[in-house]
Formats: sequence, structure tokens, C-alpha cells
Amino acid sequence: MKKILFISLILITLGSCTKIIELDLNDDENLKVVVDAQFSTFPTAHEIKLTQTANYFSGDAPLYLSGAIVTITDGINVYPFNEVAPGIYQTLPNVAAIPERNYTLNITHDGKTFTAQNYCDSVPELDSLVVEPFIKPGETEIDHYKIKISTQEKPGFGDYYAWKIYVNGTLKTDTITELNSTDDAFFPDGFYFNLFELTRRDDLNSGDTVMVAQHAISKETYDTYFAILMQTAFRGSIFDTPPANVPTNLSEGAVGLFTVTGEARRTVIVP
Amino acid sequence: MDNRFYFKTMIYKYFFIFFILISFQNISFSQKYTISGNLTDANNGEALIGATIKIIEESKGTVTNLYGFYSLTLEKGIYNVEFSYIGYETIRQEIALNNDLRIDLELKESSKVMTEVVVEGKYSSTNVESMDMSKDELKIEQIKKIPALMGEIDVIKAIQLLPGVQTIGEGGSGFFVRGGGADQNLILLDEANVYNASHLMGFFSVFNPDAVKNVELYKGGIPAQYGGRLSSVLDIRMKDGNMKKFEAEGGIGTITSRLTLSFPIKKDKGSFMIAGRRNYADIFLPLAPSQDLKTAQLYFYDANIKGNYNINDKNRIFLSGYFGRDVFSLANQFRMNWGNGTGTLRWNHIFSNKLFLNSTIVYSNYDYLLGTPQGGDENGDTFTWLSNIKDYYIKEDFNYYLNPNNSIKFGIQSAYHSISPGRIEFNVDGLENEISNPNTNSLEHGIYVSNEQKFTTRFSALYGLRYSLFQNIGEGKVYEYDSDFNPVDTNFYGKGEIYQNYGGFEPRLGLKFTLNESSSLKASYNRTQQFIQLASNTTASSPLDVWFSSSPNVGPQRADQVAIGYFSNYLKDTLETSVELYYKKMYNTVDFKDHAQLLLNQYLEGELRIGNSYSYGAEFLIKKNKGKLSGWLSYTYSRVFRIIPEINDGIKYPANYDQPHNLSVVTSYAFNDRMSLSLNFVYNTGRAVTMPVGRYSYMGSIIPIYSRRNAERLPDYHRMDVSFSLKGKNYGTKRFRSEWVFSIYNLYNRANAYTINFKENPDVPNETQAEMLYLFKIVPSITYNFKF
Repeated sequence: MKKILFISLILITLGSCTKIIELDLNDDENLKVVVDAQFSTFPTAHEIKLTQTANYFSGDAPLYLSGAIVTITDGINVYPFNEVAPGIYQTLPNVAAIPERNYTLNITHDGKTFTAQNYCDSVPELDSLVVEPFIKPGETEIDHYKIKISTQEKPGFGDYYAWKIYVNGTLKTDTITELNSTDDAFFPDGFYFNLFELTRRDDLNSGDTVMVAQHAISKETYDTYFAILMQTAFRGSIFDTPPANVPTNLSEGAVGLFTVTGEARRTVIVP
Repeated sequence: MDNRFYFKTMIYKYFFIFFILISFQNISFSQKYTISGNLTDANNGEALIGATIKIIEESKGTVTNLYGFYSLTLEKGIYNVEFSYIGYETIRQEIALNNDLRIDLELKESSKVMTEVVVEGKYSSTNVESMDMSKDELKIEQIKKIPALMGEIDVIKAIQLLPGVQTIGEGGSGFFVRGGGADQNLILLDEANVYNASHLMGFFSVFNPDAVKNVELYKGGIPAQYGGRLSSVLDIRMKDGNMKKFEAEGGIGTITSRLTLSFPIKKDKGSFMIAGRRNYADIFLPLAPSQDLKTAQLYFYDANIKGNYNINDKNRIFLSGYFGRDVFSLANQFRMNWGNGTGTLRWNHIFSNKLFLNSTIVYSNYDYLLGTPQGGDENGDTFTWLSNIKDYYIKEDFNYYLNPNNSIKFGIQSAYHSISPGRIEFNVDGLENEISNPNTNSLEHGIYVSNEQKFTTRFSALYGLRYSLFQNIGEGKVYEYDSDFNPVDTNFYGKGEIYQNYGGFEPRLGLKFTLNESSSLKASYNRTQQFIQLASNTTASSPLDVWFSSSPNVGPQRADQVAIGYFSNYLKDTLETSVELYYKKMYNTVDFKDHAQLLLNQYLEGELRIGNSYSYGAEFLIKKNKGKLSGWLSYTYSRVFRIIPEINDGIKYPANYDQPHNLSVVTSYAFNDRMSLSLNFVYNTGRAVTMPVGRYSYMGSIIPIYSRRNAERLPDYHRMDVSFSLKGKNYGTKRFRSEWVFSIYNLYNRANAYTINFKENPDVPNETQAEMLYLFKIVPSITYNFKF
């Protein structure tokens, strides 16, 4: 897919010009609640962000929504979220989802209740994580580091994965464009990722702590990530897909996404 | 219901009507004889298509068919017969008809371009008299006068200037006829299906103007011999080649050069033509900012060949072919190429002076390849993606000239289509894999009969019936989908097994009522069916075409169109005018769900959403063919809407090519024999698009919230082009003729919106902006043409 996108990017540069124009757009008459809810099998304090939509050209930072009642449940346990900052809601520390269960998110805000469901898939362990410096032939300086993983992809098709990279405890791939994700249809069934090059980074230094979090995401999460890319970062060519609203799993007209993922982590020190 | 029984009764019913109509004519016992023959160009032996043969004494006549053949049956007697063709000198002969006559004639081109052709007599081939409506015919000489992008004369760009024909996007080769999609046009080059008529993303079309003789476009009243596409037929005929002498024609343009050679194999018996074009669009790439682009390749080439031979006066064979390729590569990173190939073998056989048969065998192929260079890219990774669609056709088309009041056409056709939607092989980082989508094969058959009948001197009708049958044939793999369009089951079919049939009658009807010598009223109705369509949801003519056929999951598309028209001519046919109104209802219209993935998706059918659509419009045309000033002015008002239950909440929405107002002005002024100036102007309403109303932030992206589908419009499009042609001294008398053409595309340098993208301002957080993409501003070019 990357190659195809690359080609269309080249084609645009060949014969087109762009210009920023002034345009009057209709206002959105009903502003919606935006949910960014991520829950996983890794024990930690999980976080949910509630914001509001705005008119397209509003130019302001998102408005955070306070005073909501937020819980996640698997039908047996209920995990409450407490507001720790305006619009930021957290669980207690060391809360973890249990794999292969369905989770329901409930949000009550301003008298309205929004719900969403997501299935928590199990995730394979990361058998190894290697960070390897790369020096271009004939040069002495390190050009970049290759981050390589080993893991056993689950048998059968229909599994989707995303990888997040943390450096010294800070999430570096916190946006959709930086996030690595894949569909196992691109690999043979039950493929063993043997020191597979996941990504390259040029912002690492010797002694840094690199952590990779491997997430088993659901198909709807993968499709939504892909749709977001096609509707935002990958626009601007004459081969654009038609504009369409990004799918959401939230009810009652809210937008955003509720994801529950199996998560496996591994840490390594940059040599 | 028993389908076979239904089929039989329908056949009987229609054929009964047909024979009743034919027998409804004056029964005459007097002796009748037939004049028949071929009309050709005296200069090069090319068959003249649509030339007029008229009997001065009676208001009777006929026109030559696509191979220059005519036949006219009259009572014994002495007649003055006139043979004429626009731009050619008329020949008048007195003929004593007391036995069957064969008259083959050569017409000479009028020596001066500006000479007015005097049309006398009652029968003429003008738009008022002819049965045709919703049909446009362009001669290549007219097309060559129109100013073109980078000086590249283009058949498809020319037809986009006709009423009822629209285009979206700057310089695209796609065209939309009366609310039909770009894949609903049957594009035929010497009877071979051309699946992708675009070079270089559609900025140029695949037809080399030097190899083309005649272009006909049917927007409605589609004759029964054509089937398989819903909205239009674009029938392009290549030149046969010079029967008299060696001839070379060519040109050197800003980005393309071309050369055509044609010569007799045996004088007046057979000829051969070969035409080639090579584009060098990459000539400007060294100026590109990035190193990758400096070493890139980007060009196309194409070749047309045609040979024909008159075995005797009853048999003639033609062999023609086209091959074209676009090539794009970036040194050691990737390559891509795509193109069409077609081959047509035809045999004209004259059984009798009344019965003409053309047998055709056609091969057509479109394929594309995309991937890393041979041997892998700079990292040693390899990746190739191949896809193609192939057609084999066999056709038998008869023309039977029963008498001057009835010309009957009938025939049968069969086709085999094979679609290979895509096969990917890759070896990236040592990971080797192959992904391929199953091939689909199908058969498509047609049988038709039609008659053009003159009931009275004022009233004529063209009525016909076609039956089309489509069959999916194994080996095949078909997924079953549930009500949410998720695949739930797979069915396999063995080789040669027919697992789905779709058939249906397609009645065609045209009526003409002559009001007076210079005006007539016409009406038409046609039903058409389409079994193979293109999955495309982008604006540009992408080379990555995904064709898919009707199947157990996808029913055939069907359209019913009615049109009425008023045709009137002024100043001795110098000015032709027409007004046409149409309404078209289309069933099983295919659109795509939001976020549809069309490329390499084996569950493509699950991405389709099927509904109905309708379009209507009014088309106005004023055309001046003769005199120093020639050209046309056309205005079209048209709308097209779709209603698809799962799209836009089932609320009707305009198609993305809906453009209510369309105006084209095409003019050319000849100062003298050497100098002429051409100018055209186009204006149309911006196409329907979807625009955001709101936005939100999610994981670092500002995501737009959209309005209803296609509820907004791009800014209006308008553009003016000019060209000036200067011919060499004594043009027309010397053997070596040369011409300079200076042209300017987009004269007043307007930036017309191709798309508008909504994106984040990279410099200011939280700020979003509208960015307009436009393709060509002012483009000057020079072309040098020669002929000897």
C-alpha cells in the first residue's frame, strides 16, 4: 500500500499546483462529543479524553468537556474513570482489560448517554526487541537506528496489529500518521516476525530506553485508522478517495473511537 | 415464470410487429433495379462515410455506410443522380436504369477550403433530413482546427465540446454523456473496444489524429447494432491508407512528435497505413526540484497500423491494429506502464447489390504493470502488480437495402471477456508473498434487427430490437454476502460452467417528422444494458482500472432514454440549429460505500451499493459549417441524481459529475488559404462535491465532518484557448505541404479548481485551510505539421 501511495504522491508533484483559497463553509448546527478512549490488557492508569467538535475553520484548540460520568465494563467488572484534569478521565493505577472479552464504554454528559463496544483481542508476546545503529557505507556518523522485533503472528487471518514506541517513557508515536499498524493479510499465515524491521528512528541516543508496545487491535479500529489517514494525511492528489465521514463506534451521534487492545510491551537500552 | 416461454412470446411479438411494418408499403408491380457501389476520395482512395446519393427527380436518396457502400433500388427509368459529400465536389450523372448497375465513384476534394458547397435538390444529408438525432459527427479536419492543450490535437477533447457531453477535471479524457458515467461510453476504434482512452492520466487521449478518419458519437437513439454500454457510443474509424500514391504526414510538437506513412499495396486495390507517436513529457523533468524526478522517465508512445485489400468488387478485407503504452519510472525505485492493444480483422462481402455483410473478429486488451524495476529496487526488494482485461469478439453485421424506403440492418455478435483484476508478487525484507484476486470470465451475446423506413415523404422511422445475453462462465469463485455486505460463503464453479445468465430485450426507436424543407421534429427512445463496468471513485483517469462484470451479486445496469428534438436550418443549410430534450432513467446504478477500497480487493462486490439514477437536460446547438467563419455554439442544461438506499441515508444526491450549466463556443476564422485563427471558450458550473462543516481532533489529526454527499460545488470552470495556423506558400498546389500552429491553452491564465482539499495549516496549530489544486494555467505551444 505504501508504494501505491508513494506513486500517487509523485504523480501529483508532476503536474499540479496548489493555492490556499478563502471559502465560506456552512456551520455545523449541532456540535458533537468527541471520544478518544483507549483501554488495554497492560496494567496501568488508562485514560479517556472528551472534547467537542467545532466549525471547520474555527481555528481554536479543542474544547475539553468536564463533568462527565465515564465507566468501562465487561459485564462482570466495572472500571470507573475519574476526571483528573478538564476533559481527561483516568482509571485507578494497575487496571487491565482481560483478553477475549467484549467491553462497553458508557459516558454520560450533559444529560445524554453515549456508549461504544469493542472486543479485546489477545496479543502475542514480543520475543525480542533490538535497536541497531545504522552507519551509511563510507561514513562514520550514525545515520539512524533500526528497531527490530521478533514475534509470532497469530494463526489464521483477520488479525490486526499496531505498535507504539516510547522513548525514555514518552510516547513518540502518539499520532495516527506516526503509528505503525498492519493487517495480517499482507503476511503468510502464522508468519514468524524474526528480527523484523518495524521502523527507523533518527532521534535516539546511546543509553536511551526504548519501549515497544504491541497492540492487537480490532478490524474496526484498523479500518478507522486507515480511513483517518485517507481523509487527512493522504489527501491532496488527483487520485484522492471521495470525502466521507470517518467511522465511529460511538452511539448517539458522538464521534471518535473506543479501542480495547491486547498489549504486550518490551524494553531495551539503545547501545 | 418460465423464462423460455416468456422469451419466445416476446420474440414472436416483436418480430411480428417488425414484419407488419415492413410490409406496410406501396406494393408496386413495376420492374425495379438497383444501383449500388462504393464512393471513395479521388485523392487517396479512402472510403467516404455518410456521403449522399440522391435522385433529383424524386425526393429519394441514401447515404454510404461505414465502408463507403451504398445501394438504392428504383423503378426502371432515367434519373439524374447526384453524389455529394461535404467538402467535396458533387458529381451529377444521368443514369438510364434498365438493369442493375454498379457505380463506383471517386469524389474530389473542393480545392478551396472556403468554397461554399451549394446544396440543391430536395434530398440532403443535413441534420434536418437525416434520421439521426442525439448524434454528432466530427471529421478529423474539424477536430484539427480546435486549439488544444500543448498543441496536441485530441479527438476526445473535441467531443467534450459538444452539447450533452461533459468532462470533470482539467484536461481529463473521461467524458460523461447525458448523466451517464465515464465507463458507460462504448469507445470503439475500428470496432475494437478501447478500455482506457487515456494517456498520461488523461491529459491526452489514445487516438492519434493523423490515423483517424471519422468520429461518430451517439448520445441517444443508439442504433440496435451497438450494445453493452448504457450511455453513448463513440465510434472512431481509422484511415484506410492511401490507395493512389505514397503519402507521409507528421508533426513535431512541443511534447509529442508523430509520423504517418501510407501507400498502395497495389494501386486502387489495396493500401497500407502505419502511424506512430512518441511523447516526451519527461523533457521538462530535469528542471524538477528533486533528484528523483530529474532521472525519472515519463512518456507514451502509440502505433496504428491498417491494411486493406479489394480482392474483387464483392470482397474486401481490412486488418487494423492499435498498440499504445505509457511508461513511467523513477531510477531504481519503481516503474509503471500501461496501455491498450487492439486488433481487428474485417471482411466486407457484397452478396448482391442489396445485401452487404461485414464480418469482424476483434481482440482487445488493456493491462497495467506497477512495481519495482526489474531485479529489484535499491534495497533489493521486488514488487510487481499486474492486471488486465481481455476481449475477443466476433460479429456479423448485415445491411439489406430492401428498397428506397426500407434499409434493414441485422446481425449477431458474441464476445468473451476475461478480467484479471490484479496479481501482486512481492519480496520485501526477505518476505515473499503473492496476493491475487480470482479472474472472472464471461460471455456476452447480442442479436439485433432494425429498419429505417420512410412511411411518407414527411414521416420516417428507425425501429429496431436487440436482445443481449450475458453469461458468467467458470472457472470462477463467487462470494456470497449477507445483508451487511460481509462475505459469508464462497461458491466455486468449474471450467466452462455457466453460473449466471442475464438477458433482456433492448427496443430502439427513432421517429422523424419533416415540417418543411428546413425543419423537422424528431423523437427517440432507447433501452440499453451494460454488463461490465469500472470501479472508480477518483476524479482523474487513473491507469489502475478495476473492471468488474455482472455476477450473481451484481445485476446488469439498464437505462431507458426518451428524447425529442427540433432541427432547423437557415441560409441554405449554412446554419444548422437543434434543440433536444431528454430524460433518462437508469437502473442498477453502481456507487461505492464510504471508504470503499477498490484496488486489489477480492471482496469488491461488498463495497458496491446499488440503486437507481435519473438525468434530464436540454441541449441547444448552433453550427456553421461553411464560409470563412465556422464552428459551433452549444449550451446544455442538465442534471443527474442518484438514489441508493445505503448511501446518503437513501436521500437523492447529485452525481459528482453533475454540472447544470455547460457552454462551449468553438470558432475558426480563415483569413485566406494560408492563415486561420481558432478560438474556443468553455464555461461550466463547478461539479458537485462534498465539503466539511465541522471538525474534531483525534490522535493528533484534525478530522473533518462532512455535509451530505455532493451537497456543495467547486467554483465554476471557464477557460479560453486560441490557436493560429500558418500554412506554407502555395499550400494545396505543391506536393510538400507544411503548417505552423501556434496555440495558447487557458489564454487568460485562470486557475480552475481541480479539487479542493481541506487540511491542517502546517505552521499554525489548530488552524485548518482550504487548498485548491489546479493543473494548467496558461500553456503556450508550437507545432509544425507536414504532409507530402
